[in-house]
Amino acid sequence: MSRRALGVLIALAAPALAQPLDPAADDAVALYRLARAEALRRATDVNEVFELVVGPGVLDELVGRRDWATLFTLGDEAFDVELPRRVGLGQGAEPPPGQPHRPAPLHLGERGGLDASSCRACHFSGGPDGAGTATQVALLRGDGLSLASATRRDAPHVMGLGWISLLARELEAELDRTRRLVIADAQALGTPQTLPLRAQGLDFGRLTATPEGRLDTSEVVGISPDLVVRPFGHKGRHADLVALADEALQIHFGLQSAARAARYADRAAEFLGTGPAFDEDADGVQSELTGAQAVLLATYLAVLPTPVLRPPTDPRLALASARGRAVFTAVGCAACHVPALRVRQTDLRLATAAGEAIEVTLPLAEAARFPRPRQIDFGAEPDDSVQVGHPVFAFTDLRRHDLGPELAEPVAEVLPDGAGAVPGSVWLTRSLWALADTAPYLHDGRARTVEEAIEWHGGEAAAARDAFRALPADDARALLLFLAGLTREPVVLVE
Amino acid sequence: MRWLLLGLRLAACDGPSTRPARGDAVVDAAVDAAVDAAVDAALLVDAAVDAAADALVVDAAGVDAGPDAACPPWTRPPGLGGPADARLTAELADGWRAFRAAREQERLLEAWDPAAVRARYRVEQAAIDAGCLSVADLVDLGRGLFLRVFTPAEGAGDGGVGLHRFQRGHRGGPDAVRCVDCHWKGGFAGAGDRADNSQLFGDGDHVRGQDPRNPPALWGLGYVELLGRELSAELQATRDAALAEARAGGVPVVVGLTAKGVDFGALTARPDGSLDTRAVAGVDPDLVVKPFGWKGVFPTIRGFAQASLHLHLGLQAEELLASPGDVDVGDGPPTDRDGDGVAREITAGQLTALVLFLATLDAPTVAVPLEGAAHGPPLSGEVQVIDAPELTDRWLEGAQVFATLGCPHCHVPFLPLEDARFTTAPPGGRPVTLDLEVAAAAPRPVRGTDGVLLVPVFSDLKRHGMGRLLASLHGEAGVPVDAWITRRLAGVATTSPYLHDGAATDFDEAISLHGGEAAFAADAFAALPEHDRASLRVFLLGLQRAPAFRVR
Repeated sequence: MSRRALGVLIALAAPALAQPLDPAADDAVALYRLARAEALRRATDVNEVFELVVGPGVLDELVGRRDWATLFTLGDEAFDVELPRRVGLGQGAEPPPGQPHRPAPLHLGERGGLDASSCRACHFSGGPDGAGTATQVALLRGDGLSLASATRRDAPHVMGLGWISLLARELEAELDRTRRLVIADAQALGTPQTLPLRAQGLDFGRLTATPEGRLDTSEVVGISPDLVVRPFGHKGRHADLVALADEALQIHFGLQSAARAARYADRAAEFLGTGPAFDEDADGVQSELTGAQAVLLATYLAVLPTPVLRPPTDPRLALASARGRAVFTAVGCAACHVPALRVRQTDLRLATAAGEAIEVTLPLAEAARFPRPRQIDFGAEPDDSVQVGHPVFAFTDLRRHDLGPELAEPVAEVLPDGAGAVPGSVWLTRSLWALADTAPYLHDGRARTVEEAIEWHGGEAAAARDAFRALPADDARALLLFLAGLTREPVVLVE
Repeated sequence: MRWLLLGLRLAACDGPSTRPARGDAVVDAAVDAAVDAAVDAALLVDAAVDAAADALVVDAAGVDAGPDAACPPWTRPPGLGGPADARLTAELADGWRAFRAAREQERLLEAWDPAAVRARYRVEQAAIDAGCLSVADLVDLGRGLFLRVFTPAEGAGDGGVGLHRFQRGHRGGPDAVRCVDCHWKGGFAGAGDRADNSQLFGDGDHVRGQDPRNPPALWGLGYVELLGRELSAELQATRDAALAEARAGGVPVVVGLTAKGVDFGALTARPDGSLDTRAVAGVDPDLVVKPFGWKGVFPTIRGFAQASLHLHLGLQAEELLASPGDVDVGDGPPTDRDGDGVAREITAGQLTALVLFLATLDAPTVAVPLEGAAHGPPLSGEVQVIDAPELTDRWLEGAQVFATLGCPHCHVPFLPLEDARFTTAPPGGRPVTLDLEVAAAAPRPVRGTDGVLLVPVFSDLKRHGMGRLLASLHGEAGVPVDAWITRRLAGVATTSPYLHDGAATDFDEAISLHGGEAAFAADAFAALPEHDRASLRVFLLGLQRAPAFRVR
């Protein structure tokens, strides 16, 4: 290229900032400049320690000195970074030299595939940390050959997951109190005892204990018999964010952690691959992922802001939206899509399940990004316990429900932690926060509009669906208007 | 923005399904027209003045429609007031904020009154022909269409349930619900991730047989179409001259085909008017350069936009159904080939708006890095962006490596554009023309010191055989499996993964996989020391889309 041409180019690259911006825009510009500088640094130094690689000491130190900003930045980089091949992308032997390592959109069993470049790639629709698009629906647990063999999963948004974790732990703690109580009762009275399982007003069926301390969980509903609330995954697959991150990193990128290797050591061929113990996915890269990395990603997910509720600014539409909120309850949506549950204990523990013992505790009341649930010390009514604490407006009950044959899959989903399987027609109540920004809908993204999604409801939700169908037209559209206000705060980006 | 009140009957504008719900709309329109008639003449003068000021050529054919009837009532969708520059100014940040806020309110309105919002996105070519919409209106409408989640009521999909993630032969998907879902990476209207790869031409189920294609970025396409047109014109002029010479001289004439310095082989013109095109290289025998599609099968933005709407969204443009050619549009009735019960899914006017939006996107730039990151002590969280002359120098070295390896042989850095006036028109319709050099979003290509408009394209817009390893499973429109049009490297910095199937995660992999005609460059790259490879990477990172605000 001639020097003359270069003269033109350098003129083009002159700085663009001519005037001061507002703080949000300034921040976005600063982030952009930093990301670009980092990309250039990586270009000149391939031996640079990769961002995702953090030791446990890093987490301890940052949490210890309450440096939430740096912790968030590290996690954000890990979430956004385009993963390079050398960290151990993909599975199976490297192709012969010079041959491309083809993407694998269709997963091979529990081992997964190679279907995206970064976490962000499928969590960006509607904004950062958002949902996936129709094309980004993951094709899980297939035979590697046929689309029909795959289990399709729409990528959900990942905002506010720390608060969802806390909700799950609180519900679980409440259920656990009942479990201990019913066992104690049975022992004291010498006869089998049965108690209703309730938490924050939600019905989880009944639990029976024998005097010998054995539990009969056949009447437990909405959760697995182990009484663990698993709020992640369309089926209620994972109980905590570390396991979620750990699995996602393997099945989408082929990055295997020590924790995962330890957990599935006895079923390596199914879950990990056919390679040797130190590199089970046989891609020639060992120690692809440390426990600290999965915990770091989980930390990032945990501190993300929550979505918000934004009715229309037009006052007439705002009133119609209020009517829609009433319709939401009246037709029965709110029975499962419970508007708010509350968090009282705001410290979130994140830890690896196996392998290296990595553990951090995040005080979400100060570590989480805004918007975040705020402390409310009084309820409208004395017994309005849901309004006391940090109400989380996620519009879910975190229970599983049978949604009928139309939404059913031919096979049950086997839970990864050995807690049984979730039948084909049973799904976790989807949280509706940020609904308006997260089309398409349903577990496989088959519904492009909210109305279509409602129409697919069956089984336990059939009555609510029928009530929706029977609504006068103005009530139906008021409901849709209310739901369209379930959104998220705007984010200024430079890209 | 301007609303030119020019002649058009209301009925000519829109189908009954999208006619305004209010019964008195016609009366309103008539009253509006009467009121506005008084200022009509002034408006037209204003229009001429503003057109010069805004540098928007409203209509190449001249604004000549009679001012004696009203334009159809139309509520503008939220917009940015025309093309949005890729620049970091407070105005643009505020503009995007306002746009985001207005779209949020529109989304709420759509839940309440879907027909009212649908009507905003439904514009007839007749209204454009009549001058009812300014170019800014059209670009805003096009952007709105690009962002729109089309509903089945508008003809999205093929009437079936769900989508077809793996496409079915030449019938396509539908596999997506809106354009921006797969064109987001590296900035607005950018590229797609590996996760967004289209899976083309298969049986809809088996992985084997699917031909993956990574969605390319859409910046600067207006210039690319114009370059293609000029290349074609030059090649065809050479051909025509050779034919004339052969006819006059009575002997076959062999001519070399060169356009803008790019060699397209040679052809032989015979005295009987026939041609021997066997030696033509990198372009079809018709000598029409087709810069769009990985294999180079579409000469115009309009062509690929129309095909993409059909293949990916199940939206069949009127003009596609009028002349489907060899596209498998389905076997439904003539006005509704995909059989979803919706006719006229995309009007010529909507397509015109979409094309103008795409054509006026900013052009990728060549940005020499001036800054680098300086990290504080480990875990301090301190990172500063500071001047980095060593990176600037690295870039200069990298440009030299790029040249030494022979990359510019195909990835021609700049092609000169003679005429930046972009035109689009439906078949047989009136063209809309605008001058990209003034009307498109900034940054725009600049003129060199010699006055030549240099489009940074980093491609010769020519097809090349890239070898067996990069071959696709299927040919396309007669293009062989191993032939690909030179990938434009403009904007390449932020659009990983690379290659047609997104198999390459970074520049090194992409370069190493070059074969066929480009094997020499891959070999030369393999022999480079790491220092030079790094310099090349820095150079390629300079080929970027200018940073721009967006509010999500």
